[in-house]
Amino acid sequence: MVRNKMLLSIICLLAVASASANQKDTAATVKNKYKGIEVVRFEIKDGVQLPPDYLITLTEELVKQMQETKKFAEVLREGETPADQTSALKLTGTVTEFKPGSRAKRYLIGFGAGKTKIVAHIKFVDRATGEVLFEDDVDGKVIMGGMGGDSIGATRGLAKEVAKVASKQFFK
Amino acid sequence: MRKALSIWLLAAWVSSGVGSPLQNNDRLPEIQQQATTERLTVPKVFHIAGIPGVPRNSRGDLILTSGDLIFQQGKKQRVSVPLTRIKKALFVSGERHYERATYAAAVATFGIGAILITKKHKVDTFILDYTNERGGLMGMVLQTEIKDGSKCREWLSRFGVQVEEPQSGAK
Repeated sequence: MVRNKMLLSIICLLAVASASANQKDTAATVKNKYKGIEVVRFEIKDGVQLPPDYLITLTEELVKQMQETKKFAEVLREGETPADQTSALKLTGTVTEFKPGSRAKRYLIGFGAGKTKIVAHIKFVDRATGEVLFEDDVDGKVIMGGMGGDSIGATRGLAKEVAKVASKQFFK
Repeated sequence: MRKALSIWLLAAWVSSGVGSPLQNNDRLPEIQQQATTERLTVPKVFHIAGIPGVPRNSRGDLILTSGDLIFQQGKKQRVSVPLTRIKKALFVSGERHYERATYAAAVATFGIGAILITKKHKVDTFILDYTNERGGLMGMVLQTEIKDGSKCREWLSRFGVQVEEPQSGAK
């Protein structure tokens, strides 16, 4: 009985170790593989009241932050064709949470009052095969700034987080 | 001699048409009409997002012609988009703070004037979806004074751009 339990535990441990090794292999194979990235305008989850100008700004910030990583040879907009179609990523996402906050509260009260927050679920997809390579939740916030800080600055924070994730996951 | 010279100069001036009131009046309506049908210029438009190299909240002139939408700062054209490449234009109401006035009031009154941050003024925000030369989807967000937003909407609609109003309940 005890021997069976030990045998079962060893089998489970081996299975977990094997799965972990497979993930590392997958992660290793995508490092430095992709030269281009297509940034697709994010969708908005039902019930989330994100103003349309925030969505446009978010897309522009994502393109800009990806360019500023200086890791990708090409940063493309939705609809553009990469030079090498076999080594391009596609970034998609869905905005899952938006708190508009208040600039006046941030300026007059401070201490975290009136915080603006945007949360998005992002996916990095192989553009050629459609395989989802990595997905995660990221957020951007405005807590303080000049005269409370511009609320739409949360899009820049989120874009910077996305760029950081892309650099970490796909480049050494 | 001097008299003859003066008469000759006067005759030359009149014949050039510059000094002729009748000729000028005939030409003026034509020039104004030409100006109004060719372009609509909206000054002091705020750029919010979408134009590469132009800072957020900077101001410029929006020029709408029968074929193009141009954002210009001084004499420099920052972007020119053919109206045929604009997929849709969405007009929504927006608000802006009086940033400079708030800052000045806060400085002048040792911080008390900062209460002005609670004051906002209404503007029209218009969001454009268009394609660039490579077929890529681009967006642009501009803000104008309320009275100018409707003019822009009518102009774009007149020249075939799909103009949308926000769904009920949306800002």
